[in-house]
Amino acid sequence: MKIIEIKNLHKIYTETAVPVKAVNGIDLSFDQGEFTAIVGPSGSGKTTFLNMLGGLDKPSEGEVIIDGINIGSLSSKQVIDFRLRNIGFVFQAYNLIPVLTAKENVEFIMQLQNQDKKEREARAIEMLKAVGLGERINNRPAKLSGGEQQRVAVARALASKPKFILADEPTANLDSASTNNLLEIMQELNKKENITFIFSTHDQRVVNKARRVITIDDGKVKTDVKI
Amino acid sequence: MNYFKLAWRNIWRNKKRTLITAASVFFALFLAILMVGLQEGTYAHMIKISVEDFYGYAQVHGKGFSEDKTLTNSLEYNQEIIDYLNSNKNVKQIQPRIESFALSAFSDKSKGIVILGVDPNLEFEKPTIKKRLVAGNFDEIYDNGIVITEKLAEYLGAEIGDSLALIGQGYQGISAVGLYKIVATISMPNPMLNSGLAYLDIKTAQELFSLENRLTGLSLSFNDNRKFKETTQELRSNLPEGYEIFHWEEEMPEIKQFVESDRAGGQIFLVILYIIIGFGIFGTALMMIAERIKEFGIMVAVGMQKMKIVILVGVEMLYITSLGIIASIVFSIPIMYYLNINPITFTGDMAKTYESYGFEPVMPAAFQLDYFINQPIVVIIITIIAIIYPLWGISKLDVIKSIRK
Ligand SMILES: Nc1ncnc2c1ncn2[C@@H]1O[C@H](COP(=O)(O)OP(=O)(O)OP(=O)(O)O)[C@@H](O)[C@H]1O
Ligand SMILES: [Mg+2]
Repeated sequence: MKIIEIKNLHKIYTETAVPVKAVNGIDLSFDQGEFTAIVGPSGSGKTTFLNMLGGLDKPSEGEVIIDGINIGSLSSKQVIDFRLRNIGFVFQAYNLIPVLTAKENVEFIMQLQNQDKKEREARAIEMLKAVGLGERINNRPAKLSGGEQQRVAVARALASKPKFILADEPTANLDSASTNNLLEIMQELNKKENITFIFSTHDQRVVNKARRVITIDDGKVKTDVKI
Repeated sequence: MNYFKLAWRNIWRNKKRTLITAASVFFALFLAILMVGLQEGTYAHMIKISVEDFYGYAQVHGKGFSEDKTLTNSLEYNQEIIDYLNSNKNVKQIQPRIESFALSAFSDKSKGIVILGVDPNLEFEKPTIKKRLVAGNFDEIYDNGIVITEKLAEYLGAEIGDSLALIGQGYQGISAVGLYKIVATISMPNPMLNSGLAYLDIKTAQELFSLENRLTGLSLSFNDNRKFKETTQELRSNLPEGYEIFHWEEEMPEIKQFVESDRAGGQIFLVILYIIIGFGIFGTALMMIAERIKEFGIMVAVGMQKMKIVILVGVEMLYITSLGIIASIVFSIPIMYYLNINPITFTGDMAKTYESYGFEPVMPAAFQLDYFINQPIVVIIITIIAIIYPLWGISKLDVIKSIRK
């Protein structure tokens, strides 16, 4: 089942002296349950692409259609709500609210979704257990390692039951053990719960775990390999 | 985790900054409460001395008296006017008065003085007048007695028990001459009055000036003295023919002018103080937002509306100001209460300066609930104004740029 369709996507930065074509005509689609890596050299347009996919940035041209909705047609407030209900995000670092505990951080998005307190507490604990942090639920981010913080971010992204999770270089700040651990957790969630992950990376070991690898260069799709 | 809890935790992320900002609000507000309390207390005291002890909150005169203060314009003291004044619910007390001039003489000295004919029961019971007694006894005034100011007695070289001659002009040009026994001396805070003022019983004064049942004024005090303007207006509307009524502000505009100009000076100081506080809050809000831009960017990315972040930070700033506000109220209430009961009394040169202006050298603090409410409200309004621009910045936040930071 197709959940994302990207048509003729362009992003041109014009504020610079020479206009930069960061994304230069991408047509792609993603199915439910994918585990996809976006790779490419630095500056190739991965982040720009993912940002448009997540409705954080507006395309200069083209469309991003998620579950039949063209997110370019939404107002800026509607896009925020759309993200809240449909997209999970994991950023490179500092994903979490420092004054909230792991559990409160996971609950945070569910609370924005107005979920019932009991329900969201139960789900937060369930998700933290799923990422192997059942024992650390009351720790604040400062008391967690970088890898643990990223796992909390994954738990948070999952807890709100999004259609897919976007992760821009989620392992960039992690050592190899934490990287492996995070990827294994993501893989397991993907297999067991059929959750769609789309992530960018520079790390070959991460790429090796993906079931689809899209290579971007100069803002264009170079290869798109399903394994 | 609601916003109030989240905001509370957030303000303690930078303890030092929160405490410094709250402390600046505390000091400014404390200073403001102290200053306004002392100023208003001093004004109230001044007004009390001039108004309650001397003029009354309003006075009824014979028509034309305020233009031409002579006995020709005295009023007829009859039941009709008394009933009329008493018909107003706010009228508490009606005090008959005679105010005129005479030449006082003792042995080879003489001096022109103000003569006040009063009801001794009412006049000398006023606590402020009572405590101005220097020597003698007010009670003996009924029997052709006279109470004179200390300075006058000194000037004339007269003492208690001596007889003072008064020479003047009575009603309709009849000459007014009398001999009165000095029964008490009194000290007035106003130096001009202190140099030449004498009190007679109202009956004695009526005889001296051939006024029969006439007076120069009826001094009024009210149940609610703050409504002196309204009540005066009400009384004026149906005042019987031949009378006029003025409240103290109309009669003594100089007091009001002094209070207003002095208050304006204080307000300029307050405005400067509050501008400084406003900038402090503004700076704190800017810093608090600037260092959390990335966090806010992520919050918006994961689905939090910017308006909610604006509210969150707004609550945080109000928390910080409230800490200062609460501390200043808690701290200033006992101090103001103490200064209200134990007024600051000046001594030495400062006292002399005050006295030379006709003021008592005391500075009582006003202790009124609204001073502890009004100033904090002003601070809250300033806080809101000071954070508008920083908060506006959040609503303009660019998610991509802030996440990249
Ligand atoms: N706001 C911007 N203004 C101008 N140029 C930009 C802007 N953002 C990105 N670019 C440019 O667009 C191109 C693509 O950038 P992007 O960040 O998407 O690359 P990337 O593949 O994510 O790189 P990396 O692997 O280093 O993260 C780059 O040449 C970059 O310099
Ligand atoms: Mg990138």
